[in-house]
Amino acid sequence: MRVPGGLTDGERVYGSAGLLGRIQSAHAASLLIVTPINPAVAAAKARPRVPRSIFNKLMVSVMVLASVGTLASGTLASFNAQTANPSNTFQTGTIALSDNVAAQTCLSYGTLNAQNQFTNNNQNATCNTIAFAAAAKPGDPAATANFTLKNVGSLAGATLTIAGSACVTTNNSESFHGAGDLCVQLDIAVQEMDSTFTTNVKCVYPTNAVACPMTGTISAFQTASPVTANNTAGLNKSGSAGDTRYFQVQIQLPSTSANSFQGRVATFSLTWELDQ
Amino acid sequence: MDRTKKILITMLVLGALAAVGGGTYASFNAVTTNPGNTFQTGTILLANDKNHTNANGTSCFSYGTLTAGEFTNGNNNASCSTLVTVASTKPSATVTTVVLDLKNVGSLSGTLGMTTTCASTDTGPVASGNRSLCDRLAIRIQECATYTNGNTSCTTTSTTHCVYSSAGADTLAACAALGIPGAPGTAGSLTAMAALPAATTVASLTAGTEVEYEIDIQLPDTGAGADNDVQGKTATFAFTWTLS
Repeated sequence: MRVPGGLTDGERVYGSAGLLGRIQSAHAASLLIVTPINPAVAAAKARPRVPRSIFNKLMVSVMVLASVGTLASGTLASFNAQTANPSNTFQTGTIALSDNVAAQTCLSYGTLNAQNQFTNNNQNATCNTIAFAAAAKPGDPAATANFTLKNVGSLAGATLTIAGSACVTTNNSESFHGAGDLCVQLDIAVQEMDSTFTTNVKCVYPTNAVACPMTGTISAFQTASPVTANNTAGLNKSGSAGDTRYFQVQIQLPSTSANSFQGRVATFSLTWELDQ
Repeated sequence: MDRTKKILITMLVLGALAAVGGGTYASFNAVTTNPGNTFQTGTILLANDKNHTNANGTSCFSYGTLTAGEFTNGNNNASCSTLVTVASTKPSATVTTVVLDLKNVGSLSGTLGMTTTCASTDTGPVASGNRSLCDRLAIRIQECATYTNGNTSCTTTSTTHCVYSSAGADTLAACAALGIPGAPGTAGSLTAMAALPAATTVASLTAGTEVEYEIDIQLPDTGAGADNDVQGKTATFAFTWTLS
């Protein structure tokens, strides 16, 4: 505990010279004085050569300088009171989507880094590509792909949507082909089904009937996107009933399609999104 | 030396000793005494009371538990109430509020300083975002103009003093609205508040006076996917109040 006298000394130092200057000189003086002290003590035993008054002055200087050094290391405001409110926490949960199609699971958070953090903002645009049909012809049954969507996060997602991206028609690898735009010719349907993909639950697109009609083109679907799968609200949090839903996407070339659609390829993306 | 001389010398010596022991021979003197001089110190003591629910005498005091009337913690109490605990949540318009009553219960006036820390950890469970939750938490501390004990918010807030907001610390106006933190360290975020110098001055408290501060914290919703980088995180933060 520093006594008030010490404080007074400190104040005087601040008033008379720069603190830094004093500290530096204090250190220099200490170094110079350290060596003489022991010989001086030794000499004092055997009749000192240094007159006692000078020795005393030196000692006082050492003490003053030492106290200056002490002051420099601390704060002058020595009385205080402190209280702390520790351990406040604010925690967030997760909404993470697992998309399984054609026996491949794709997670919204992609590949995690070493700290188990996702670095893709939980938006994975590189799930597997589905080849609905390789060489279809008018009148073929609808090509299908079954999607299992699961919330693998700790928060319930309130809204599950599916969206079709801009569709592009190109030629296939054959030499002869038509010039028709498959995107406005192919019909698409998004059908919610039971967990075994045998029973229709509710159509997501193009209607809200139990079973989807094949009446909406891929272009029309893109225009209507995103479409909400509103049979139930979103996906419950992982581990709860309702954390998984099943959808079948059906695509068909109408039986009335003309030759202009021969040798063509339609390419488009499907994006599932689960929002809080 | 014969026996008689020895006896005489002994008597002389004893006589001299007796004379010395008998007091002083100087009978004139002058004496003055200034008795009972004192040097007394005062106290700077701080009481910390969440939502002002404690009756006087049971707050969290800077001096902690006393031993024979003396504090043994250096007048520094690091274990007052935790003010905010928000479990697994998501971005929303919900603002978590709590009121902290701070009172100078000592005999000396002091300056109130505030120190904040915030650390973000990954609490998944499966995966977490890769940004500090402290960056996205909006915070402000309003001073109550009027307040009813036990409430978690002010009845009315000060229009002339704000402890912390996006406008900075200790500003002489009503607090700005809770902002939507943008880049890391944006003013009004918990990260920015924690970057203030230690013991940033927020008030002067004369002996016996108290202030009530409403602490508002929100994880704002900035649009679909915009806050995904703070999914699965826990921000742990502490407020330290120094009266000096």
